[in-house]
Amino acid sequence: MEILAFIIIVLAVIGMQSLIFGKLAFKNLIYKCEFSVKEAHEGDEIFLVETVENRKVLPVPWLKANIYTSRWLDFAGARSVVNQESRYATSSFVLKSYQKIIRRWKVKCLKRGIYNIDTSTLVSGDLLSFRTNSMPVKVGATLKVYPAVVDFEQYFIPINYLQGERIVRRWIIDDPFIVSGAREYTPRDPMNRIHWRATAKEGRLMVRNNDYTSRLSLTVMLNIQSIENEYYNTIDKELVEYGIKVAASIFDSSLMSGAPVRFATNGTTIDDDGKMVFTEEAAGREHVSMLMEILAKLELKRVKDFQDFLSWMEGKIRNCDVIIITCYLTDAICEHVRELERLDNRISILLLKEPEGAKVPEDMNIYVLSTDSEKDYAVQA
Amino acid sequence: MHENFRTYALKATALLGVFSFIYPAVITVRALLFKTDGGALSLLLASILMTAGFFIASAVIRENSAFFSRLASGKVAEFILDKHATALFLSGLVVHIAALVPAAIAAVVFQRDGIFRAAFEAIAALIFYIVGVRARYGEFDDILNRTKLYGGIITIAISTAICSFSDIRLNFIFYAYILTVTSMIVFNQAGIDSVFLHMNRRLAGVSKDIRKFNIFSVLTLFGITLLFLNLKGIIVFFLNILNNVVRKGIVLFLRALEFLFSRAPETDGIIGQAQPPQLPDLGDESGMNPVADLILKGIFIVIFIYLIYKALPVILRAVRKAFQKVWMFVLNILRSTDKVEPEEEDYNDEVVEIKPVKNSAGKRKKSEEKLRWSMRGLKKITNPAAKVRYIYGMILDVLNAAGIGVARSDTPGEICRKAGSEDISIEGITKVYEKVRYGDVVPDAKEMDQAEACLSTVMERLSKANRKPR
Repeated sequence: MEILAFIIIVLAVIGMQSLIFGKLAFKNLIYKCEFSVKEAHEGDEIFLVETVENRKVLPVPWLKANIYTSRWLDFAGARSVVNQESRYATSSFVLKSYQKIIRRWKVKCLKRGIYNIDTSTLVSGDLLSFRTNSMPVKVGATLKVYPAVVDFEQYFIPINYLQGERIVRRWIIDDPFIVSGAREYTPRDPMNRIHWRATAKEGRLMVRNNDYTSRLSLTVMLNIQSIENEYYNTIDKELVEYGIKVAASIFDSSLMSGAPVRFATNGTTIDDDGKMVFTEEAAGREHVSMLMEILAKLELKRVKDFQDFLSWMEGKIRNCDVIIITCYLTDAICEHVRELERLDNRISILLLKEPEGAKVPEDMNIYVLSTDSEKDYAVQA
Repeated sequence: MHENFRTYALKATALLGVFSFIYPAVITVRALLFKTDGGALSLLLASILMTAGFFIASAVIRENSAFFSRLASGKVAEFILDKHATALFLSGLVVHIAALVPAAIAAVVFQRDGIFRAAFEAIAALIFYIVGVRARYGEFDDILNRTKLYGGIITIAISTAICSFSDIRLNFIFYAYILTVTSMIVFNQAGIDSVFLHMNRRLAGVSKDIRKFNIFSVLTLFGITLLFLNLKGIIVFFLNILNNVVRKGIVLFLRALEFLFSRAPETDGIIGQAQPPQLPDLGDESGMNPVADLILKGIFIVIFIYLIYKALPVILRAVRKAFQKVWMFVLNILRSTDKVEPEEEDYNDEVVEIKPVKNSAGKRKKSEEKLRWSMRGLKKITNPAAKVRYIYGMILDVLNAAGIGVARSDTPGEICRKAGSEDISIEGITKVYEKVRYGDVVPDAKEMDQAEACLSTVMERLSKANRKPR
């Protein structure tokens, strides 16, 4: 009889705990998942913060949170599985009564893009796993990963150098400050600003007076095609990705200098299917952030052939500094560039790979990506 | 290394569960055939054989054993075993054949009890040894799976029924306990493995904290089961203790009265001398007035429940501390040979206790009432330093009432930070309080105003929060 009573009680206890944990596991259980920042650059390390709160007396003996995100956010190590473009990570918790756990995952941003974690799935159950419940939770975490910024002035060399001629090192983007005369020294001025010639001439201490250059605006054009006859998707993605990084670096540089900048490309973004990118011209942090976001969302597929794109651009820009980032150069492209130059635009071309056998025009500012980024090119007169 | 330890520990637990239903079956048959259960010696022998089988199999059966690899590569082995000539197979075969050794030993030991007894004991020894060996081959949730659990329950039930009908005095409740607790642990750990590693065996294993907490929870569940099973006995036990304590107390009290009255001086000429009070007939312990018994039992139950409610958290804390000390002691002994696992590197956790929010209207009203009393007390204080300390105490009461947990060990700075995290600013009063409390400084009028203003702000903000619909 004792055995029978024991069996009945065991079954009753197992049943009760299954019912209690099954029904109440998710009650007063709050789950949040968010990134530590809203924006980051490629290569940055940020945090993915999960917060789980158990606001009740009943503990949660085990809780699994399934996180689905992009494979280009590297975190969770051995706790994640990568499948094509997705990453699936499992986060496990045990929560005692009235306990909150804040978990910070180290995340490395591998690639540009806009990443969302829309929902997460919570799984819990009773002690003996007779009953397992799952519940989807809206997360709504978004992260914008901008392209990394590179020191493009270091890595691009004038094409003339490759042809063995004497080079004149030019900065791709001019220094923003020029000296616009001298003025009398005040106690607030640092000693290294003293203009000695003006001082000798005037007979009293004089300092340099700086001013911004009166600048032309800057237009960055990116050719999303990696070869001339490329239909739809980009073939050499790595090269074009580098071109995107260069564009990002130019925007970053223009932000520091305060120059108005715009962006144009024969590609499109993920939320603007079929429409080429041609932004307004503006300066300032907000505008540059908007341009960075466009770069983050850029898809590697062309909408229009680049020479047709240049033809389309001809009427739209005048009296601008233009930087064209492209993987290749053709005669047709060069013709369109000359046409743009006739409209008082000053054009620099950044070639992402050395031209193969093609004759490089001598009347253009062409810089090519150096294969050896550690070489230092001295300025020569 | 810890993963190996966990695997072996779970396998040993599962094996114990299997033992807990095989052994009752064996001793039932032994009792039926030979009118003896074998006693402690047979229990010891059976457990040793099963354990030995498991450890020998674990130690000897290996894929990369140098000895068996050489043996397997021999021409004789290749001729006899063909494609099975591997170190793993050969080592397994040897261990299985070695089962004849314990069988022979058992037969020799029991030969004086007759050939049938010797044969029975040899077969029993073989069974226990082979079960131990076979445990090496499966995972812990294969050693004790649901089929075996149900089979075990049926086996114990049948054994109990047979013993009951045959008038054999054997109680298998202890084995039922073992089977229950081991199967609960095994199913719990297998369950969480299945959930966390389902379809993703390449993933890192389940966290140690989850395993430990789950095993603790399962043991607590089993404890609750035992409590329910023996509830009547436990309550009767405590009631008897209380009954005896109260009874003896009453008897002592009345004896004391009797003693005092017997010492009173005699009075002349008074008719009908007062008699000392007699001890009431409380009855002996075996028979009581049923009405009095019912009333007493009712009182004792109420007192018992109240004492449990108050004493249980304290007892549990003390027991937990004691266990922690013993565990630390054991770990310190073992730590010289064990390596500590590295901390998690993929993430870090911050664990915070959340105080339960007391949001009932009755409790809010109570805390507001307490604050009104405190305000009246504040008006009576004239000493500025005492007033600042009183105000600070009131603010702490308000913070506690709002669910912002203020611990005794918290410094004023920590309390200020906790309040700040809930958007309540008490920096002003904290500075003044620290000067008064630790610097023995007398606050000036400006600081007093600052303190009172801070109190008003805190109270106003929290009363607004209380008035918000929940």
